[in-house]
Amino acid sequence: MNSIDFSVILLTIQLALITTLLLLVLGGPIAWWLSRSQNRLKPAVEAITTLPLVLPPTVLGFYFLVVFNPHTPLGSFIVFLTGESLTFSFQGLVVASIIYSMPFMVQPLKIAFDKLDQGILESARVLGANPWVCLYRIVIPSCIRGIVSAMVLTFAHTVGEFGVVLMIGGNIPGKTRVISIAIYEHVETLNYESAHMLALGLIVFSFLTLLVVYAMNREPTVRLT
Amino acid sequence: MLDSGLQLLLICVVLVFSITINAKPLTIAVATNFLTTMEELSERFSSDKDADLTIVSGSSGQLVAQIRAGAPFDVLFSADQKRVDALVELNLAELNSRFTYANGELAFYLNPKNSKDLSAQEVFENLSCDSIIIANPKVAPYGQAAKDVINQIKSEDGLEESVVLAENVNQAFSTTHTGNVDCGFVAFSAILAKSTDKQFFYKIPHEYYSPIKQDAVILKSSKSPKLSQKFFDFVQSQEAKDLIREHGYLVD
Repeated sequence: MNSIDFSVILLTIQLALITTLLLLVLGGPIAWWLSRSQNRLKPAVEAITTLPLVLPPTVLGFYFLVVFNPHTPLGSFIVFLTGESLTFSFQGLVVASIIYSMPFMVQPLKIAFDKLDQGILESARVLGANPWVCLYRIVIPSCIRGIVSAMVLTFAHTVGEFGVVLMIGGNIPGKTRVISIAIYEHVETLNYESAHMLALGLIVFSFLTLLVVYAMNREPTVRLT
Repeated sequence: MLDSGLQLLLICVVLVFSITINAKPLTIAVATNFLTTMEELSERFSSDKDADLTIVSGSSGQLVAQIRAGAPFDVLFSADQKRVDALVELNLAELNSRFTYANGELAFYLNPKNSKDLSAQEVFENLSCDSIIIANPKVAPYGQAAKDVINQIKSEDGLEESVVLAENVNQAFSTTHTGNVDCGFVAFSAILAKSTDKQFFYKIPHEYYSPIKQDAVILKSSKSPKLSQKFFDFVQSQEAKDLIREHGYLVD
């Protein structure tokens, strides 16, 4: 394998890892709110967080380019702050991936939070446990499967992103050329050997990822004798 | 545990903002027809200039759209003059830096796996194939030239149904080469690069179209205009001109 492909893999993992961690911090509270709140706005918020699942990547890509174009007020403000535009940069890919992979983090988390026994939480509160203790002693241990599936799915989905990255990242080696883009370019330039290596690698990786998720989510069989 | 969570978050924030390219970088946006030539040019340039050249390719239209949306390129090697004009007009490119680096030629390419006994020239003269691929004329100058040629041979009689649009001219080549379409309009340089058998391609005579003037320009947003100019000087040197000619282009 040549060194260019290695940097492509590294960049993809970096993007997926950063996206997953930031989404966990961002999506966790959203999922919690969706699971607990009776607010009238709840269906709207849930719909918004699920939108990226049904919209074509071109929609997100288009509006991303419109909003973060360095010639717009917001775009030029970001250039002023960070010295670099969000369009066609790695940072931009992180922001777009967070939006695009949002449902893959929020939905599994919400389902896990829904199953949480409200009574245990209330007892803990009554016994004087503060919210942080509740989070680390009760919520995380009881929802660990849901949290891990959410993270694994988010990671895998970000690795598999193509349309958004192509639109807002272009194909810049070392900055925005991730695995899916590299495969596309190898196919176009008839470099089938390199395309095979990356594509087969991605199939194996994705299969293993899903295998882990499904094996983990299998309910333990309980026998009453 | 909270601390380690915060640490992770901090680490990834640092990771996000630490990805910058060091050394003397130059990002070259190049129309796909010229990609392989550009790779050789940049190799020769960087070997004695110690520069870190990054090449990004796409159709000219796609690259210009990316430049307008803030893509961090230093120079553009377009496959036409029209789009360079537009960039200059928008004050995104340096007018003084522009020059014509090559004149591209169009070729008709017959899928090498086809079962026809006809030569590429015979098929071309009647456009007698079930599917023809051209680069999308809206974004690719080679596609526009191909469309003009097609219109001269067959003036609007349902040919559009058999025309497939590729994203750029290299995709038109690779799709024909792999036999997914019967024939395609490609850059002559691509034919040379794959040393294609004579019966499978036909260099389209200039009476059908005029060779495609391809201009290069330094972008106003370039962070290393000096290095860009050095590279431009190199591309206009005799050594570079000979190399461009070897790759199937006409050079003034």
